Amino acid sequence: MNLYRQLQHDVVGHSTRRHFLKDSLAGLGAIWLASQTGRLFAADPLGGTVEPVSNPLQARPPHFPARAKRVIFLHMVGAPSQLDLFDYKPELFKLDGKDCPRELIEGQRFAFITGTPTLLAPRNRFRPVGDSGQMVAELLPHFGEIVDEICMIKSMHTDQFNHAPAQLLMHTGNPIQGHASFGSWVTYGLGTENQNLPGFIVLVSGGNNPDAGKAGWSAGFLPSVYQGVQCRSEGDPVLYLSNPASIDRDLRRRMLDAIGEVNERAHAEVGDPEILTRVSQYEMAFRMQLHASDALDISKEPASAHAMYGTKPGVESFANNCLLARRLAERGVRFIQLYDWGWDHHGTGGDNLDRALPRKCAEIDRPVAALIKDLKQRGLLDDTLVVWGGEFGRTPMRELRAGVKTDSFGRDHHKEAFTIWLAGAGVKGGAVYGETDPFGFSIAKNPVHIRDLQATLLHLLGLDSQRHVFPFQGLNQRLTGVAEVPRVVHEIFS
Amino acid sequence: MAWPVNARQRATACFAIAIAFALAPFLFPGDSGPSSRWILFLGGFHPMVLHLPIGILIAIAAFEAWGLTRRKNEPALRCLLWLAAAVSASLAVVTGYTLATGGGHDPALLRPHLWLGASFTALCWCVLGTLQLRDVVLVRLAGWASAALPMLAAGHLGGVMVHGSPFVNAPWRPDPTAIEILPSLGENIGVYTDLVHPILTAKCQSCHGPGKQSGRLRLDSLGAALAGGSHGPALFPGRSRDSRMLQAILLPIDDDKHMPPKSRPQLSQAEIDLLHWWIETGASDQMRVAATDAPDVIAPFLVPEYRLLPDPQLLARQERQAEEARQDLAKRRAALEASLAEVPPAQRAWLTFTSQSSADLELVVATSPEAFDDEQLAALGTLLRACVRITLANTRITDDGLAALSLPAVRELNLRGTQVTNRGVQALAGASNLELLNLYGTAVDDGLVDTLPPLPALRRLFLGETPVSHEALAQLRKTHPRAEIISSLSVSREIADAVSPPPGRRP
Repeated sequence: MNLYRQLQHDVVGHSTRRHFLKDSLAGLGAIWLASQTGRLFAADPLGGTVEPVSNPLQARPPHFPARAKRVIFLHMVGAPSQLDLFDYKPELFKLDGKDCPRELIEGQRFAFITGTPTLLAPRNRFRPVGDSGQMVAELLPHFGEIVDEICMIKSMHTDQFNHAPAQLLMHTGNPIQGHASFGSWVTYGLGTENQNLPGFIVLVSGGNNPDAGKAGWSAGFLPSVYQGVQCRSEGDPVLYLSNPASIDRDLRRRMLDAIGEVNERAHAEVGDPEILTRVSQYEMAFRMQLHASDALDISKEPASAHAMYGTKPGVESFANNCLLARRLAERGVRFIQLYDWGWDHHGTGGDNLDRALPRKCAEIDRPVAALIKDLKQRGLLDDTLVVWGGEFGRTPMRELRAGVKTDSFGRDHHKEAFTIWLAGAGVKGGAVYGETDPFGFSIAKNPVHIRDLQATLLHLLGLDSQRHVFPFQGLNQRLTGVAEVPRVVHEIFS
Repeated sequence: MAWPVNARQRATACFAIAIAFALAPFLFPGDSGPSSRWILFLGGFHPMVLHLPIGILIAIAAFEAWGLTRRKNEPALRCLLWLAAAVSASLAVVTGYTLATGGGHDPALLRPHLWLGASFTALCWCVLGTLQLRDVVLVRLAGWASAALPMLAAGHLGGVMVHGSPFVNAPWRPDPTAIEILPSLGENIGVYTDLVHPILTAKCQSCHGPGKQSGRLRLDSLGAALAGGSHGPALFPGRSRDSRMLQAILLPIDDDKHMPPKSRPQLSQAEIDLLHWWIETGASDQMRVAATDAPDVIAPFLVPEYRLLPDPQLLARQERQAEEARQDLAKRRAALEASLAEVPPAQRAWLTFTSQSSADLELVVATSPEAFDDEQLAALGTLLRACVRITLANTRITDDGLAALSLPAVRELNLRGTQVTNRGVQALAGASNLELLNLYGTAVDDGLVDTLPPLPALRRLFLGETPVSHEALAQLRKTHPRAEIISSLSVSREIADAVSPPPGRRP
């Protein structure tokens, strides 16, 4: 035993400080490497990540030259029925009320439909519109005036058939919360042109927030300066934007200067980028006090504009939001996200295709046409990308919840095929991409997944979805997900 | 070391063995086919054993060089080495002999190989025998040289038999695959002889031809292609989907099994289509079509001087030009970045590169445009020369301020909501690349008909919210027929209120 102790003692006696340093070389090297990697990533020659700058919202060049400089995303929350609006399926008139073929629904899961549902014909008349003669529902009488600016994708498909996850998938590339939203990715990549307004603004109408809630415009793992800012079309455009009663603008300025100095010192000490975010957000809020109120005040628009959009100042409406979207686009806001709630027409009561859908259509028809035309006449449609769509589609089958027959017609959630449309910068006008089968159930030609759409939109903005990454949790995160490679739909580019 | 026999006896034995090996080729029966599985088995060791005498001869050379420089002599070791050489060479002859009886070799190569191998072995024994009698420098060196020469020759012939001649690909010989330009097709086209064969020669034969047979596959004749290589036939007539050759061609270029390999000249789509069609229609070498009645797949080859391989000179020139353009771009970008670094941050914020690698700038005054005037524009100075897209919407820019613009560079000019008038537009006469001009909400009026310069590149002109009349617009559309002129737009007032119920709706 003593011998063994002696041996141990000798071993310890032989390891000198020199040995210690020699043995820990790998560890020291790793520490050095870790201190360098931040810089390595920042100077990535591929331009994968974005250089840290003093102003994180400074306009930055895209990966490659691009037509599209900003996005207006019109999301119809609840998922409008493509079969009653854009994806005309005359076959369904003949099969109305007949049992759905078994092979069609074999192995499929629906949100509410169980058993063997019956097929449901389109609930309204279609007519050919525009030079391209596309069949569009009469519910959208003004659509014919803009259809030749629009490229429809009739072969969209998604992975999720419930609202919140599907909305998250559409806007963050992942059905689970915690990922960065589309607008955040875009402002992270390109910054924004107007430093007096947020780069990513969210406007909500229809009486409710989207099911995914504010996670739909969250910055996720990106610096929080890229988060969407929700603005309201009545009252203070941004909550708590005005100074309290006893504080004037000078005092506010002095206050910000003092706070800014402290923050700069803290940043010099610890280097946390969130401190810069805080400073720039204070500064932006200060500038916004002047400029946002002006940008978001539609009462300054002439009567002709109100007539064109059908807007009434002071109320919350999709029309007002469309006019606001144009005002914001004009001022150089990078990403303008509109949500309009109330498109979930199941037919379980008031939410049916015969009364609720026409009402929603009437709410959006004129404003959407006005938005496209207004952007066009101002030359903004040349560099603004407009996207319209829901989070998924609706079934060609009638939904009969719990098998009870009523006189209220509706359709269930459908992820296999739906329609969205794009207009503006770099997109073909009067075009249709993709095709569904005669039932409108599944895709017959050229499927486009949500991530393909995201990659396509990023491409139009000059960003390569595979290179536009953010290192988080040991992975280079992407909007389109890290697992699968999306396909850019070059066929719809003009 | 004590030898059991004296030197003379040892030498005699060596010479006797040498004579036996020298005569051995006379006894070679020709390829009689393998007489027994044992013979075949033994023959299989030839490729391994033959390397031993080569190695030992190299060792002897090293040993002699060492001895000469160090002035040392180890006669026993020398004898031992030569003995090893002689024994291993003998083994190589024996195994080679048995391998050759198995047949399947070109006799024109096999005979000399056998002779040279046998004489090399005989010489090894001779040297060993001579060394027993007289171990002098002359014997050592001459013996080594006389053994090494037949060894090299035998080795080369053996290599040619198995791997093909290395001289086929010698740089000084005409490249057998260099059919760069397809010979012009006559009236009556032999699909295989005039098209398929030249294509395969140009794109495949450097690895699958007489010189080299990767995967034991040759594509220089239809018979060889049908016979195939180690993965079976290269093609099955009429079954293009099963034909390995086409499968390999159609794999993605990054796939390891894609053919031709990534670094080699690839097949064009027309060539792939032709091979596909040829295999589908039976992959015959007799098939002929008339040039006047040729199917679509042949049409691309009817042009004079169809290039099977890219012109190396042209390729090099293109590469050089691309490289020059890259360097020029990088230089211009670096210069711009340097001058941007000197601009005050407030102005710097208006300027962005059009992409991360371009040397073009965009000037976008979106932050506080009401504070931007002629002076600020002029202050940008030479940087304006790089600006291809200029957005001055709602700024306080005036007609006079536009003089600061470097006109030939500008492709898009947005003056929406500014005080610019007809006079300012007149100043754009030199904007030869201007594609888009936005005058929405400006002070231009009907006088524009006279002042708008021809602007040959103009494609879009925005004139909404201006006092420009319909007549003036009509005239502008005549003077600028290639430009789309967009005036005020509005949504129609009447709405189809009465949306009739759709057909087929049930009560």
